[in-house]
Amino acid sequence: MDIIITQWALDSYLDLKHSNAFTKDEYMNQIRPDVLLMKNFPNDPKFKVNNFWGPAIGVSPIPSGYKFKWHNMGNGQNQIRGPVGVFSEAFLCEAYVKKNAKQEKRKLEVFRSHLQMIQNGHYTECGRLI
Amino acid sequence: MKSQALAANFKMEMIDVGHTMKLAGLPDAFVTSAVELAFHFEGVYNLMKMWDEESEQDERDEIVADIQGLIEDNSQKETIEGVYVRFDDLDGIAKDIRKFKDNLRLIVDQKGGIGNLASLTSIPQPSLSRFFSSAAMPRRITLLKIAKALKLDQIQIATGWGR
Repeated sequence: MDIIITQWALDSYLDLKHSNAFTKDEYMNQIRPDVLLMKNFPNDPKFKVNNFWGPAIGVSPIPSGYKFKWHNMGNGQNQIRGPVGVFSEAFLCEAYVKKNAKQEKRKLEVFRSHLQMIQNGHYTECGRLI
Repeated sequence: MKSQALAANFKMEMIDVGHTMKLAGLPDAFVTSAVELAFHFEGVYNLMKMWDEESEQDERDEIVADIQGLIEDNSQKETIEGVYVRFDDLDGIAKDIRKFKDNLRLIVDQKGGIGNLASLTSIPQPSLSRFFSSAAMPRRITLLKIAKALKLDQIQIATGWGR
């Protein structure tokens, strides 16, 4: 499965990197290798680990929507979430630092809308993760 | 999305929320675009409901900024090949974008501030605040609205990282 980096993902990575939400080491040794597991989705056993991967649920479950969960990143206190739309390809969408349930629900409803735009072919691709 | 049978009720619900948004002082252009988008996007429908049920102003502002972002995203009607960025370049690009936005913010402040810019552009103030505080690439549509409102020339809004 190809892994597409959308403009929404790139923008959120710019913001997260700029605010030191994660370190270069964490990106290179955890985040990037984890995202690359999407190439073999859903075969890697990590996709069965609930505190690593799960369905995206906003007001209600989001069809084709999942999220990576990375814990204690950056200063050790950031809980980063990386929503992914899984169709015939995997679309990385906006990642965020989870602050509370209300904020996360809002972020995931934006993600739901972006998945609909992706299905309509209305999105910007900023490369593929290889 | 809501079922077809509920379509009329669902639309009326959004029109009611839109009316409440107008009473709360949000720009007409934002409210009409938000209501129209909610007719087609379940996520926007849910955000509108969340705004209506929310009691904290800060959280309402965040929802407004999210909806405005989606209104701007929805103006794109094709798949576009954007700029590929290597991880090692992220920091430098984020710094460039921050510098550009900080300089633009100085001009905005000289011309009446964000409140004035919000009324001139019909972009809700929370959305402009997010625009100026983030390191995200600025949307060209937003830059053009700001330039038009403040009578800025192309050089003042020129950035290598617009989208």
